Amino acid sequence: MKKYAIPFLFLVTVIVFVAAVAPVFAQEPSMDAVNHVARKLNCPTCQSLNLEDCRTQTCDQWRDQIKDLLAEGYTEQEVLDWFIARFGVEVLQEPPRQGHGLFAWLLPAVGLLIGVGWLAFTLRRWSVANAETVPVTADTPADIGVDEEYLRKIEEDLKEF
Amino acid sequence: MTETTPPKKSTAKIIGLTLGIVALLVLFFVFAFGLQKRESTQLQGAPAPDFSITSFDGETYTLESLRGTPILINFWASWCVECYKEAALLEQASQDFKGKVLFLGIDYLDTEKDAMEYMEKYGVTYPSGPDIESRMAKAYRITGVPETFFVTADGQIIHVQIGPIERPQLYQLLEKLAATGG
Repeated sequence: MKKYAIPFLFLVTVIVFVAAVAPVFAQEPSMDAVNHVARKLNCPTCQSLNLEDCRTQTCDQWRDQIKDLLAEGYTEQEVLDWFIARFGVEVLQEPPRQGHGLFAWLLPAVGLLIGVGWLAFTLRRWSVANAETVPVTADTPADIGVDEEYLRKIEEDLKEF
Repeated sequence: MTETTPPKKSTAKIIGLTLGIVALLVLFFVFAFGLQKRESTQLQGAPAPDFSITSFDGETYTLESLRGTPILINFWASWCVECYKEAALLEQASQDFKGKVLFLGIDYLDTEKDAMEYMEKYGVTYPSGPDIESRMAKAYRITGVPETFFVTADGQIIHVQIGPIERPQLYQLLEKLAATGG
């Protein structure tokens, strides 16, 4: 029994140590987790840069804030909600798919639909107009809407000439 | 004699053209409105926009509740290098004009932890609070930090300072402000 006592004690010590230390490491969010949220937020002081790519002090602080919130157990959506509540909806890289944000998503589609509709209508009108045109040949005088009286006078003048 | 039919096509053309012109005009006005210059200095001489700000201590301040008190409103942030330059001066001035002018710090696009560290580092004791959703920054049309607004007791902005302020100008303006407080 004695020869198992030391390995057993060692094993118990390791298990206790790991159990005590593991939660500390588990609570520390990875940089990947922080950046995953950061890329969905705007840098507040630069134009068009997201929080993940920006190297300003402001963005460093905001990334720290994300890290703190994740460490507190916030989910990704809860972190985003925290930033929206604190800094406004402008903080998001993408406008939300609800409320006024819907305009940003729907307007390009509506514009595209109107454009395609207009193009289809115009092309159809052109093709109908072309179909209605009677081809002018030597045998069949074209009906170009010329007054018959006027034609008759021309014929008479030509005969006299 | 052939009868001429009413020109249906030209009516449709006129309607289409009118709609197109109207759409272009609407677009033009939307862009023109968007490009309109909105600067804080335009508020100089105008009534201060209303606000409600809750300080880090939990006190709420509104323009209405402060009517009768001259106010210095300073927009700042812990990440703002220029703000450091005037932090100690503003704190000193707030002590010198205690009871005559209320100093109010508006923490812009900042995190609370860093803001508290900044206030501790520079010994800021006058009330300061976060600008939730940048509502106040938008109302006061600030273009960056620091920006300082000098509001008289009856709510008129007498000066807008963009960037850090120097001691002589600050004290001169504070004297003017204090005189409006009665």
